[in-house]
Amino acid sequence: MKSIVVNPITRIEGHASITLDLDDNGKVSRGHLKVLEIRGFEKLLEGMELMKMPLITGRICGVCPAAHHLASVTAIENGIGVEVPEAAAKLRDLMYMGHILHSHALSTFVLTGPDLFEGLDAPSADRNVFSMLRLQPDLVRKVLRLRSIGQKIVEIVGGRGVHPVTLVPGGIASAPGAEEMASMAEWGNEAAGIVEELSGAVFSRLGTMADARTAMEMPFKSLALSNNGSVSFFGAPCSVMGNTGKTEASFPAEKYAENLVEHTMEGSYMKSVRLSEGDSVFFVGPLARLNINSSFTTPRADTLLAGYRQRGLPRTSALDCIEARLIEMVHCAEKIHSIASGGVKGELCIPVIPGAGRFVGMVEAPRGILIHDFDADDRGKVTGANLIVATQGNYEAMDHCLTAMAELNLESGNENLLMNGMEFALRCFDPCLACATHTSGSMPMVVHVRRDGRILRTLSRRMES
Amino acid sequence: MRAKVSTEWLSGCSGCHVAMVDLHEKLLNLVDEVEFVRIPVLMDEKGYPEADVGIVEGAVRSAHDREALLKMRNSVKTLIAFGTCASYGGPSGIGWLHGRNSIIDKVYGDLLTTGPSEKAPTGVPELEKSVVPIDEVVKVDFQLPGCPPHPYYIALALRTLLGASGPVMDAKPVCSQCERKMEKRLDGKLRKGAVSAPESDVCFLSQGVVCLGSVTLNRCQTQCPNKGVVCAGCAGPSPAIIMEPQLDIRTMVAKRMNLVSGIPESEILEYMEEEAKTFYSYALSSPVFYRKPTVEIREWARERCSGVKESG
Repeated sequence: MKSIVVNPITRIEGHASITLDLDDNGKVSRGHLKVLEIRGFEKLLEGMELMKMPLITGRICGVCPAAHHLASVTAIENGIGVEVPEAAAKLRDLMYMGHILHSHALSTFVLTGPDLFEGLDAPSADRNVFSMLRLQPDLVRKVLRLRSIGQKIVEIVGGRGVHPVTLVPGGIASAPGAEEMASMAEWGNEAAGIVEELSGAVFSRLGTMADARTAMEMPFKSLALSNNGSVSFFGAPCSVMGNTGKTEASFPAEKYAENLVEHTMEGSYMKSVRLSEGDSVFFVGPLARLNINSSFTTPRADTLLAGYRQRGLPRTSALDCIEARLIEMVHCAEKIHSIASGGVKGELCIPVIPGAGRFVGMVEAPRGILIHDFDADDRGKVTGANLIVATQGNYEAMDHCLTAMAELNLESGNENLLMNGMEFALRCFDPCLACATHTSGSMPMVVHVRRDGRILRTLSRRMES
Repeated sequence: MRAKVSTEWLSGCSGCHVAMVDLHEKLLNLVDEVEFVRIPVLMDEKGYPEADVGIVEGAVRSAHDREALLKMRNSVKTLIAFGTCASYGGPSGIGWLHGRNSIIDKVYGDLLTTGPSEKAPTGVPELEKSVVPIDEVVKVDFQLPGCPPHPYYIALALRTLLGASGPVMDAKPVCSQCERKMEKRLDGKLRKGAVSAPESDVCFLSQGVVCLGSVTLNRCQTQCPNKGVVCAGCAGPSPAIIMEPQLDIRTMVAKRMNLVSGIPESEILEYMEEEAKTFYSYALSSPVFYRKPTVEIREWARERCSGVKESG
């Protein structure tokens, strides 16, 4: 097979690109996402202080730093075998619900919103949040307000909005004041209201996308944390569900390496992750969480979840990720209200000093399972690190769906629709390329159409003149 | 006419762009004052349209980054290095300590979950030999470090640049807004690895915990120490440290900490050199740290931080 010639435009244009292979009849044979940069945090973390992992690993990703912060702190605590005080556990939950709310609001409305509200074939100039601001100012104001509520909660409880810091091994370093707790309690109610208000418009758009829904069906397993059937974002084992809906296995954080295996992918710095058992492909994230779990333990989200599950289970179309995120946002809002209005009392932190050993943490990032694994010596230095991020867990599912969307739209002859259809498939998973391979990157910008490995056409949003 | 703003991200985490969105309601006011012609996180524009102000996040890690940066420089009048990665290398710049092959060998060949037959990917753009801040590649007009810069400073920087009146950018250290009180103590004990301390209103240094607040530029509104966590130095060194060749973060911290805790300077120095990879992490790949005559970060990190073995 001939190698790809990356021309100057594409080299500049992309941290990531898509290759679309066609067969002899001109039909789609395979679409593939390529991530073109790497930082290599597994190497960068070696030799640093274990106790400071929660402060530096957040820097892997500016979109989900709270997930990395939490994964590292959880890893250290699992290795030591310490349980944090109740007040700290509640505040962590409060911060994390704010984080999921911010991330889901960004994904659903700011990033995917233009696809939904302006249409997949809208010109690119109309498909961004600024043009939405002109066309639907009230909608955009509500969306930004929703995201702000989430992120402000992260800032108040976590100390900072991007790259929060207050979670320390053994607990939390400080607690918000009574006034701040009261504001957050109100914001919880406000957020639930905004999500419920905006959901109708999203549903009516999703209702018109039956073709995409069918195209993005995935014959894969679901992986998600589960606390005996309840959605859990940390501190629970991982469940594996087959694509017929049968629960097949479960494993705790410290057994992840016996259950998962990473594969190098062609032309990409991002590795995929599969189950070791049968080398099976899976997906992670909101869709998997709602396939595996039947409750949230908050009333409004539970009502929505029951309705969602009644309409088919397991749900295996990537389009349903969007609905799953809406339900999760309602849960976050409810939980924010209940924790903030209940208040916290008592000790915030138990002093801990780790010895030599292995430290593994597994959490649900907004986009799926995230694992941090550190080895440390008796001086408290990291001697080895392994990181598995959610977007890796969705890599092959994303390839599957972007291929399907290309099949759906190739014959239309509309290149804009073809390209955006593939990007939309990726956006359904809310991929975080800064996380994936712990690299930098943005959404793909360039599509290479190939036959027998030879590039037929290169499509990009805007060629340099 | 509104000023045109164009942004790009290189090797980084996109957190600086998220911080821009964290202007929240003020983002909408900003949109009234400036026109974003390119902002990768929010718009589909992939070219490099001409703009008055260019904002670049991230360091230069690959040939991609270098070319994107040159395109940005050529398309904008004023270029801002946005965030600590662009200004000093930041966390991306930690790769400066390691050969590119040792990074690739680790990620694709030496991890618990990497299959035994896996190899490094082919057909990917090669990494450059090292990681550098953007002013090593193009002329930079302004630096706005911070990991990320607090949205307050993002708005202030843009407004200042566009000639608005009001508060001006200052260059004080993180300590300048700290609510903790320095207390002179004589029998302190060095708490290695600690990120917080028992007394919430007393300076970390007085309590034997290394905090970089006194040697770090305040682009954060001192959120960490005021919320119970040490300053990790994420906005890079303060102007005093940058401008004086004989001043270095470890010597300054050791001196101050000795005065308020009684811990011998030599003990603090030895600890910070041993943990150089942690304490210098945000500006490792910048000459503001490595060109100092008394600083041997690479040697400390390689010889004294266990696990740092090099190949290629």
